[in-house]
Amino acid sequence: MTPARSPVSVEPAWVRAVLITAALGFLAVFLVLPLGAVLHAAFGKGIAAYLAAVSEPDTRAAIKLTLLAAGIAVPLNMLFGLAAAWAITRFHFPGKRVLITIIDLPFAVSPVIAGMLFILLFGAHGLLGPWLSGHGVKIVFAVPAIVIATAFVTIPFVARELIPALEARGPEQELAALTLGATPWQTFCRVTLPNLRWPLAYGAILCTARAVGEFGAVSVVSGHIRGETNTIPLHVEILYNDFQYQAAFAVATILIGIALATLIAKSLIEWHAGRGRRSH
Amino acid sequence: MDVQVEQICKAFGEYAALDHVSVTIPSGQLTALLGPSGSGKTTLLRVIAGIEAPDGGRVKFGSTDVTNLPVRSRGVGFVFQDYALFDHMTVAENIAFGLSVRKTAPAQIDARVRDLLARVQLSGLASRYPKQLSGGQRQRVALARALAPDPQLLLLDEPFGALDARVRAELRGWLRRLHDELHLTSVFVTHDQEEALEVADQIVVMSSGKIEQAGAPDEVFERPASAFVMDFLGGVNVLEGHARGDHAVFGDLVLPYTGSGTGRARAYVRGEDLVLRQPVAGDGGDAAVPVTVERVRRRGITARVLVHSEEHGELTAEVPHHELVELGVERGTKLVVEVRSARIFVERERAA
Repeated sequence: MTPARSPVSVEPAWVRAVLITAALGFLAVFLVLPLGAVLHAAFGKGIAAYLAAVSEPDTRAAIKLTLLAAGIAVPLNMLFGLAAAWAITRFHFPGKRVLITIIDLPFAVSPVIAGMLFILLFGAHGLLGPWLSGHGVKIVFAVPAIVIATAFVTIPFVARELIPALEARGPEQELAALTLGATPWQTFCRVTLPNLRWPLAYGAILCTARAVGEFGAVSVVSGHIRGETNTIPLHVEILYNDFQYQAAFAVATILIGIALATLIAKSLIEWHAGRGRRSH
Repeated sequence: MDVQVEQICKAFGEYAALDHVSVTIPSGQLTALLGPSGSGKTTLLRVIAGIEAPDGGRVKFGSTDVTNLPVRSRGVGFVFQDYALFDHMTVAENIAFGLSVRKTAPAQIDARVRDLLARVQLSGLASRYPKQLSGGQRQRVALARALAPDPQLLLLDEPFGALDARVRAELRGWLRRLHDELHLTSVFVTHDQEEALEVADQIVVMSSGKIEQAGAPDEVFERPASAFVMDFLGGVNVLEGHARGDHAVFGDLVLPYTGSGTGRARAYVRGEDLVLRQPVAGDGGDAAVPVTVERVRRRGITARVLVHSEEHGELTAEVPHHELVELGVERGTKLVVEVRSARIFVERERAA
């Protein structure tokens, strides 16, 4: 066998220099610069002004609502992702292709359209709206619609991580557990779930990041009632439109913080999973 | 406990993996399911385990019908081809699994795990993870894990398939010794006829979803029931000719034929039953075929000599090393081949 050669090493030095400079330059202009601008605007009037903006009641309500929506949507999609990935990789059933397509639907459909979909379904003039309001249930322009919209746009993340993981592993370990006398539930808890912990965590983190940052779908169904149906991204927009730039950017730093935490968690998981693979 | 397989059928789509298979796995013995890939041997093993549900027929353990019993209630130990060890558990946790799901007392589990680790010679590796072990060690962990819940039947799917030649040979001997200690009814699947002949008490030869022959290794080797079995057990030369009553004619070669019937015949001759010698004056009779040596392949204590005959094409003789030296065999040497014994299979003549 010929020794494996790194493709990078065959490029002339100047090509490497140009490519690296271009990549880093792009990052600087489109990522570091705006990030710096946001931080500068947020802290421009001092720490006290920053803290005041972040601890203002409407902001606190927005944070609470965002966490609530993510807190419901993420576990829901973890359950759905597990069930769907398991069904798709382990069974043959009619409608399997359709299920795979539906899982990807939220990726394909614009979030605004997704939001409209729920208005059409649950709105005052919608399909189920009159019946629901007759029973005193309010979904659109209230917290339930925000949770539903968030759950919808985050459907693909967990399932998309689990399907390849399950496919790569095959059913042998589960079969082995069954031959050893484990019940299906014991098999799931002690063999399947521990084996899927990293892809599941990875999917959950991507899911959380999207749930927290979702704007389009939530914007359509929320009604923008301050202190009630505003999530963090919506609140940033409202503050910005009210010319409260410093406050808007201060709240935006919360989203940046969450994004950074996500990145770190993601890298940690990749490092963990990669270490497992290397020692194979 | 013996295992009886009765009229088992299993199809995957259009493809019949098992076609009305019936066989008895004798109690306390080590049985090999031998066949080429696609012969249905692994499917049969999985049906016995309960991993695969048959389309028809029944499986009995002793006098109990287990056809509809779920896999976890059958009390079988199953060793998967690629071991299927639990990656996230240590060696000790893997072995303990079958006991801990049954809520066995921890002290009892510990004792059993220690005992099994000693038996498979892995006592020092209890806290390692499967990924840190070699293929042969993983195989032994898989075996210990399967034995831990004290199964009434041990099933092994291609147990040595993924290992290199030396480890294979070692583990074969080791599996045989383990079986002699435990006397557990065991079945293993293999496509390697040497492995089956060396290790097993019983051999079940399969082809195309059917059983060709079942019997002790000597019986299967000495009295193959079909051309397929003879061919599959290896190293045979095939001569084409005709059977005529009490003898069969293959070109100039005439061989005695004890069967009945006339028609197109094939003689299957094992490599070691082709005897090479120097030609002498008066050769060219009924039993000797003149040949030219084409190639010599040394394989340790014996060598395979490829010779070419005008009449029969390529033949391969298995010759002990000392004979090779005596004959002074090399490429181009003119020799004579005699057939010491042959199995003749006659195709029934079609009604004209």
